[in-house]
Amino acid sequence: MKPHLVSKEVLARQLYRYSPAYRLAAFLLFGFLFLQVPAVVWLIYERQADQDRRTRAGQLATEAARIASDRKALADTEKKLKRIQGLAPVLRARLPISAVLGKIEQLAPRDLALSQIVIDAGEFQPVQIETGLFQVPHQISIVIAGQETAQGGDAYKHLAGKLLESLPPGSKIADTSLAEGQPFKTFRLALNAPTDGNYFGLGVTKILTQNSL
Amino acid sequence: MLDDISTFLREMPVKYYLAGGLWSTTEPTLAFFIGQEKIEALVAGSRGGVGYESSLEKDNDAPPLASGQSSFANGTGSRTLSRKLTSRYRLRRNVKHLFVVDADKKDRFFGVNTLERLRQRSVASALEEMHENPQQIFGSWPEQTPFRWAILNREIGLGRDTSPRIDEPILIFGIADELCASFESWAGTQGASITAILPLSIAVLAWCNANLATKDRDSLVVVATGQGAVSAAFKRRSLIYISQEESVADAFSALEREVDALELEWPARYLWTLNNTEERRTIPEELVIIDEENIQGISGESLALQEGHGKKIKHDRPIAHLLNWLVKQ
Repeated sequence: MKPHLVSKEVLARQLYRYSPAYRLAAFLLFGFLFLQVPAVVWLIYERQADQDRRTRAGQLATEAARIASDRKALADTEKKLKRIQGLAPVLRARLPISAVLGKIEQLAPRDLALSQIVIDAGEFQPVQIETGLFQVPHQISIVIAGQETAQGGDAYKHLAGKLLESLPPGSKIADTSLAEGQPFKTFRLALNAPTDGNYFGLGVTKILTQNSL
Repeated sequence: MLDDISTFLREMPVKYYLAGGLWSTTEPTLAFFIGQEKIEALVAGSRGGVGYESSLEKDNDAPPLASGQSSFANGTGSRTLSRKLTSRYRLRRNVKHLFVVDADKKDRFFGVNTLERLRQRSVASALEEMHENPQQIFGSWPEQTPFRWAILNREIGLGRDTSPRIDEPILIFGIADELCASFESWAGTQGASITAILPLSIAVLAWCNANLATKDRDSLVVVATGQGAVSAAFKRRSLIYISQEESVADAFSALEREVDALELEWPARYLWTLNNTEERRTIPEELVIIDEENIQGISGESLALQEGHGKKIKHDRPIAHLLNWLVKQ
């Protein structure tokens, strides 16, 4: 039926409903909008995530400010701790002399008489720390001299071997000498040990808890 | 071009597209009969009428009456009337509206004329002139109210383009612009498109010419509505005379006076009435009254349509058959 007595304005609007061209245009438009849905969802998600990030950043900034304020009160303690930390290379390069002496005493056989024990530091290297320049040793030399009976055999060598086992890895026997004599033979042992090794073999035990300090 | 695109984006019927209009334009039709105090509607699917509503004027969302009055506050309900009807009869949401209006005499005009007598060369130019300057066309045009005009060929073909010879009779009809605009506005609130707005008498004459034996015999047809009577004469299917009268008796009297002048041979006489009235007693005896008793024989079928309560009942009143015929055109 022809649209009798219907105004041109209404007919023009109805054209949008029934004209294939306009419907195709609407279809393409809807299709285009539909394809934007993932992007819109992603944008919304990103916006939400960004908002969360900002909120978190704000919280962290507040927390950081609080920590900084707390840390101010600990600044003096921190300074002292830094000084102690600075001494670490010096403290690390040390030899527990009492432990070495104790070990020698344990290991020395009865038919050996020790006349001299010399423990000396060597191979110094300078280390700059806050309070000044320190000469830190990297090697310890242990010299043991004494006598054994002429029938004593190789007791001094046994002592050298056992002591080497107790010293930190990297230690070595630098010299062994024996001077014949009657009724005693005079021996001399020289061992070198690194300063930064572990001395557990000498009977040094680890401090397990801080409270034990 | 850019203006067209921007207008389209602004005006595009998104709801219509999303309700399925993008894929299919086959829509149910709500054909309204709009009287001065009564509104009826035939709800039609693709195969014709499926439902009938005989008193819609009581609905809150009813269309305006032919007097121009809106029944109640339009659109106050949560659902529009069109939506309610399509849900009730299980039809698609997108609908077309067809308005058949029994307008007041001052709001309507009918006339048979020729382009030659109107001094116009084409239907388009005649319509333009009637719109711009009706006094120029009709000599004395009393109405100051703007009208909308349409021209049909002498066979009253509602669906065909009219391209008559300049000496052929044409049917000119019009309805007040304000009245048509009120229907357009209401249809807009319903989200519906409009198939046409037709005066009741013209719709009836088109139905008569398509269904009565006007091809075989000259015919005199009187259409009695709530707003008086319209008399028409058909000479072998061609409308050659139309006139508005006060009553059915006046209409037949006028026709009898014109029979000789119109050179009609032994014409058949028909009466189409909107309501059964006592006036039948005053009309010629050989008259065929188109009513519930004989309409089945004329239109070839009895209409069984569902009503609001869900039961199918016979609707053989002439107005129901008229609306059912119109939605199939």
